[in-house]
Amino acid sequence: MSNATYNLKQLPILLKKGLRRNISSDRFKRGVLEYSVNEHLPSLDLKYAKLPIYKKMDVAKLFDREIFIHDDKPIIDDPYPEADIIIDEGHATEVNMPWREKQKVSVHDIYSQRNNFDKYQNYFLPKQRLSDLCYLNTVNPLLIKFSSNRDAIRTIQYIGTGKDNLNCNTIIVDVGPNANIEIRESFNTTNIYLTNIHYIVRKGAKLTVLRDIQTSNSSTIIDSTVTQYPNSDFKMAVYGGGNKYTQNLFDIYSYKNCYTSVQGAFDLTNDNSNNFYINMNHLAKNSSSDIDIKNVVDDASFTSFYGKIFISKDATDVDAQMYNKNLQLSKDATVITEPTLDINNKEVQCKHGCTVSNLNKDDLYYLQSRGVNTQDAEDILVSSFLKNERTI
Amino acid sequence: MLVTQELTVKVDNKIIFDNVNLDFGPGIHILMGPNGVGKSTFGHALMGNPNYNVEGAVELNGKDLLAMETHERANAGLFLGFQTPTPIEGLSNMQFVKQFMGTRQDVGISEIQKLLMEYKSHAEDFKLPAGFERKQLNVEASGGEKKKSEIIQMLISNPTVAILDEPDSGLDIDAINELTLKLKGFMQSDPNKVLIIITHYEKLIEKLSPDTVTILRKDGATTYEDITVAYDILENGFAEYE
Repeated sequence: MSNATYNLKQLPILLKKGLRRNISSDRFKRGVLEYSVNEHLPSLDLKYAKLPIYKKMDVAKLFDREIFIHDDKPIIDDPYPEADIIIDEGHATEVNMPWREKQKVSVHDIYSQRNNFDKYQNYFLPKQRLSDLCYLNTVNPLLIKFSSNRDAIRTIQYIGTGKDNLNCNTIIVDVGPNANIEIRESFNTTNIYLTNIHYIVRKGAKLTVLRDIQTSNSSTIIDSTVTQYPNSDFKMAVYGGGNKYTQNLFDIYSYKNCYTSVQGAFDLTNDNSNNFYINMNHLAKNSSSDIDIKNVVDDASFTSFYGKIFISKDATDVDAQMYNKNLQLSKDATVITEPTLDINNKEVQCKHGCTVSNLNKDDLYYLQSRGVNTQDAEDILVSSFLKNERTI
Repeated sequence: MLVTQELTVKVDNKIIFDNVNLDFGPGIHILMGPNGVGKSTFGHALMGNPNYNVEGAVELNGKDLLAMETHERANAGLFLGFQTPTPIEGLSNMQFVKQFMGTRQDVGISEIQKLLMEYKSHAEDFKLPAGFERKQLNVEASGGEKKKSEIIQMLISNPTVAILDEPDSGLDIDAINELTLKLKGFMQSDPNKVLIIITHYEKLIEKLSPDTVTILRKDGATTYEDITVAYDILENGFAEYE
């Protein structure tokens, strides 16, 4: 196997033949997560490249990419020095966490006693997309549990040093009732990096996630599901320079009196590709959401945005807004944007919109009139565009 | 010193004004003219606004202004206070000052810090709201706040020649008094300063005691050293001077 290569389209065959260690091939794990694993197994027959969700996501670049199987560990140049938890292909290393801080957060893997993974199975039902394949390829799901009523800030670095250049993580982040948690995520990824994260924000809890996707040559797919219990807040800020290929997918389910904010800022160059999908579901009354995703595309880069706000029949007094703004600096760059609304009652306030524009000449002239040269003025305007004044 | 020779400005081949010959020496100069004659255009044409096609010759302190890029004109000592300052989301007033002062080679990091303190001090004098320096540049600001912001930018960048386009608009009487003090202070800081103000506000003209009044026409411009010309125009209109 040491010189073999395959791609994502061929991965189901390897799984079926047991050529790659995975969640379904371990008897112990099957015993713990048997129900959800069995639910996922039919996903192996999906024709991933043809799934509707990927229609506008430039997926040829992703599915044709070769995955190398070799014995040498890739070298990560700059491991995040301040990480509290480092996650690599289902293995979590806890560092820099004093005893007192460990009381606030506990990390469980499949071998931990009383990990209670069986209780989380319903959070990981198949989605009919690549995340199913990620789930089945996970060698060790991880549970990061924050105690109730605690305040904590944690830095988690996701790295890729796996032997075969395919890294699959399944993560559960469970924030206890009335806790106030900030997670600083940093993705320093290699080759193909698939991650499923399910954030569970319990009643009255506040969770803020700052996600930094560091620019690399990798294909990084992060499929996030958020379940917000009543009276909870979830705020996400995701930013990056765009990898060779990136997907950020969010399915958010919010219930009574919840607040949700998702802000994104991506500065894309070369032939990097960034694809953003968000499915915001308001399922009970009196909740609000604010989605604002900004992209700057230069050179031959590519960005797609698909956003949907769903408001159920019973979810009255909902206030929701969703914007996707794009700054296109090159005619060779591609922008695809599609915000949609699915509203099922009349007592809501909902706004959505998308823009694709170039740098404003008046803005440029104003900066130049104060002595800023053209290149610096463009840089200032790009950075100002990406900056979000709404504090997270 | 700002000298224009046979200055002609066009937009899409349509002449806004032509044959404007002016010589602004040290001192305060009022620029007046009927609506639409091109007073704001005059400022933007000199600043290098790409929307205008400019012909003729302009010297700034002995240098060929029209041969310079817009940012070079600013760094050579020209400042234009906009009639309608441009809003830029995501850029704070303080960051903006830091950015444009940082582009000048003779300004080091410690000097920038000093200038930022100066910004706060001017903002306080103008009774701008606390934290104004952190607000986005000309975004959700009142007309008066934008004008004050322009004046602060001028004071900090310390140009040799400043053109201010209706700096009084949107200002209440207290702010006009403060504006006058600031502009007089600016002039006193260097006897070679040239300040050209586009205005039709009698109170401001009275308070500034300008050195000349220039009337801009479609086919030229005339400069008067007799300041009463300004008051005459404000009372009787431009008819006699066209």
